[in-house]
Amino acid sequence: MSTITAHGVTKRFGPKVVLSGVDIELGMGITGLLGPNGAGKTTLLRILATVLHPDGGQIALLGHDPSSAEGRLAVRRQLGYLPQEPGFHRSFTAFEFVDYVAILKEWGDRRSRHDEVRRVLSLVGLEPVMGTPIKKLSGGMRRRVAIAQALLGDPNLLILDEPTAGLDPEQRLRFRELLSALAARSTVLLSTHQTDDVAALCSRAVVLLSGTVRFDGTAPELAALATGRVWMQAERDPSAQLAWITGEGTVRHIGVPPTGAALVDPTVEDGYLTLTGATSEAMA
Amino acid sequence: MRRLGPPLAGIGGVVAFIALASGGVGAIGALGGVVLIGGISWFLIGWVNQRRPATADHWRHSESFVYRPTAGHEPSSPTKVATALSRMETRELASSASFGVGIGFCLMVLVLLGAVWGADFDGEPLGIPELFPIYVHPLAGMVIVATHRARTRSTRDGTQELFDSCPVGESTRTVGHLLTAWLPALIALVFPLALAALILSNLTVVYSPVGPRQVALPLGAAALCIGATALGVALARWAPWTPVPIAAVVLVGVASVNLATAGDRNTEPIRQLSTWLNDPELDLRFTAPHWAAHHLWILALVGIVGVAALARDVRRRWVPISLAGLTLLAAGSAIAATRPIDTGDAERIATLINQPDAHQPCVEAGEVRVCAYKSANALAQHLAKVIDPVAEAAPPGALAGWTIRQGFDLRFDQLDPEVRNRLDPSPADQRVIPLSMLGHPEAAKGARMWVALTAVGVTEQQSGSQVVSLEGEARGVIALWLAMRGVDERTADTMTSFDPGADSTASSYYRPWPDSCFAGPTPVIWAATDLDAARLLIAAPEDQVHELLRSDWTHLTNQRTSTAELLDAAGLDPVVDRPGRTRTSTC
Repeated sequence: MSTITAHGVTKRFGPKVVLSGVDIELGMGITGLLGPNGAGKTTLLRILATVLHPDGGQIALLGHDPSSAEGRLAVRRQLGYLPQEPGFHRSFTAFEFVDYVAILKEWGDRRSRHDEVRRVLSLVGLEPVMGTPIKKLSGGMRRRVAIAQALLGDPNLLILDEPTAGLDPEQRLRFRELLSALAARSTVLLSTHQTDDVAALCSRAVVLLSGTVRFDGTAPELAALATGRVWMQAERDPSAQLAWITGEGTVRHIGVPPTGAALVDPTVEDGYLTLTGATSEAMA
Repeated sequence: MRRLGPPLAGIGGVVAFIALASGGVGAIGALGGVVLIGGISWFLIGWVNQRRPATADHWRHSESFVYRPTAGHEPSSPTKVATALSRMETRELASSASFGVGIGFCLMVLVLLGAVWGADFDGEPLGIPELFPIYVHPLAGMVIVATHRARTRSTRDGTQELFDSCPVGESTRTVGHLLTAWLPALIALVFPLALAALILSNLTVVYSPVGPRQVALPLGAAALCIGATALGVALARWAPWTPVPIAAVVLVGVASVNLATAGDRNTEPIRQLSTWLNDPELDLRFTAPHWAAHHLWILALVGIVGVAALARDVRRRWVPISLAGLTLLAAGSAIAATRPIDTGDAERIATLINQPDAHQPCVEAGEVRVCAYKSANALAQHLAKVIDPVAEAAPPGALAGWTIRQGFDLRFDQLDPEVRNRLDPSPADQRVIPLSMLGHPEAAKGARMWVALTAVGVTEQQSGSQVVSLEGEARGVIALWLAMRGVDERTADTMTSFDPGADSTASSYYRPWPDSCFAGPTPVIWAATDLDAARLLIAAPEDQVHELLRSDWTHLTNQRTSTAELLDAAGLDPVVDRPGRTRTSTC
């Protein structure tokens, strides 16, 4: 059953068209939104988080129409949102900041609210520093404060814009655990540049390019786009669409392989790069 | 505790600034310096801590991770949400530097007026409550700045987008900020009450009337602070730029001061439209401002800015209706506040001045009656007690028929024209010793002297237009002896040790005491040898002097009887002749 439905969503900022007829239907589970910078990911997430109005198209979130005030309120009551650049009241402690957001999520009763704030802060490992002013926390900790507020009330719809930015690899693993547990009962849409996050976490991947959806499928399906197009060899092949030196010293290529090339199994990143490379070529 | 730095620095800054601006006021200056340095140190410690690496991070992958689901909740009502928000915002307001500056001003006023200069209010502290709204202006100004910054914090800190995704809208958030007004309002109530308590604790006698007008004044001060909160929030919603609250404070301040100084008189009706109501200079008995209309005007303005704060986000019919209603209320109350004095009030005030005896209960002190306006009955009681030993020491008949009476000795040009037109220029009762409307600790001492001088037949100074010299006259020495009845030895010695100087005038005729810091030059002067003689007489056995005076009162109080004759009659050694003026004021 679809919890997010968007048809023909358009958005422009002045003359620049940012979204051009986006169509997506998402259900429970984790969906990764991929795309290069400027593809319109953040704009789409902001529209789905009800903080930005689309210029056109229809959207239904959790069965509600966010174009109406009542619909927006109903959505927001079930929404957890992590903006790309969440600000902080720097004089607040981690606890106070999340507490403040909890109030804005209509959590008026102090005792239950404080229990909830402690719960989400412990989920992101910040319980020991919850009394510390945010200005004293590291970048990764601040990111987790932002994640914690999005988890308040176990929202049915969780929209996370680059949630793993600033997290170290171990913290990303822990974050994946956290999100996987939440995905059992929620719809999670996250945008990321980390294709391995998508491979590890997402039951579904959507690739947005130049304001339109260019891929919508599973992570293996995205990887499969590069099947037969990824090979390794010692020297760089100038005919390859993309090539880079790996840690082992060999060069990984994407493109049309030469005869006899040592093909390898593609990753989600390969599939994504194949897609974006093909689009770039088409555009060129 | 970490939140104390900004407000402490603000408070300390104000204290130090005022101490420096006033040329340093001893302990106050030192206190200001300590608080300022403490606040800045707190700031620096916080800044250094901020530079330290954050606490070690232990959030790592583990197999034992168990997701604990939420206990869930039902959405709270907007009222409950706004109340919860206001709690947090109140704490933020209290810990802001701007608010600290406002508190600093309040504390300075409290210390200076309540403790350092508190004794100056001795006498009739009727005007103290009148000053409350003025004293809370610095706090109100800082509240405008602090609340504006608080309401625009989300834009400044980049949290607006996150907050926009939450179900609680801007209107509820605005209400949450408006509800923080209770804190500055409470301070605006507590501060004047603390100030009044401090001043009253310094007074020897308290006789201010307390009526609805006096009660309304601290409430009006609280209303000003509520209005300041509302104005800060309203400006934040409509003009969320940093310089706006500063500009608003300046504009409102200039407008208020201009209104407060409009016209020539303190009782000018237009001044009732100012938030900055000046001390009327007149005893409040002789003014009749439309104070209820003034408070209604202030409340209407507070209501307008409060609704204006909500109008940015609330698109309901009640908003324009409320704004229209409050505007009408403001206009109506402005008209009511600036209307001329009511005829009945003008009549009543004129009668108070024309026929004070009809409005003043009296207390007996020997042969003297002490009369004061009804609300100053405590003063009359106090003065009667003070002069009683003096009146009792005078022989029977010396003070017969004399009355100490409060009379209008203030500026006639400050009276409302309607009152002035009704004044009766008929001459005052000749056997009245004036009791000033201006209260002061010296007034009681002055009354003793007045009674003593009257007893010995020195009354010329009562006209206020001439200096009476008692150089070498026995009656001057007797007057000093009489005036010292009931005072301790040290006070008597001090009171007879000062000569006001050759340039004495009668400008302060109501306090004819030789050593008065506040009375200025007295209208009665003595020679230094007379003061020496008075000290000898005071040191002599009281019964003996008393007997002497009663037996030969007429002769000894004759203008021609010399000081030397008096000393001789009392069996005392003559005083050594020396130049006339001996000491200058010790003030």
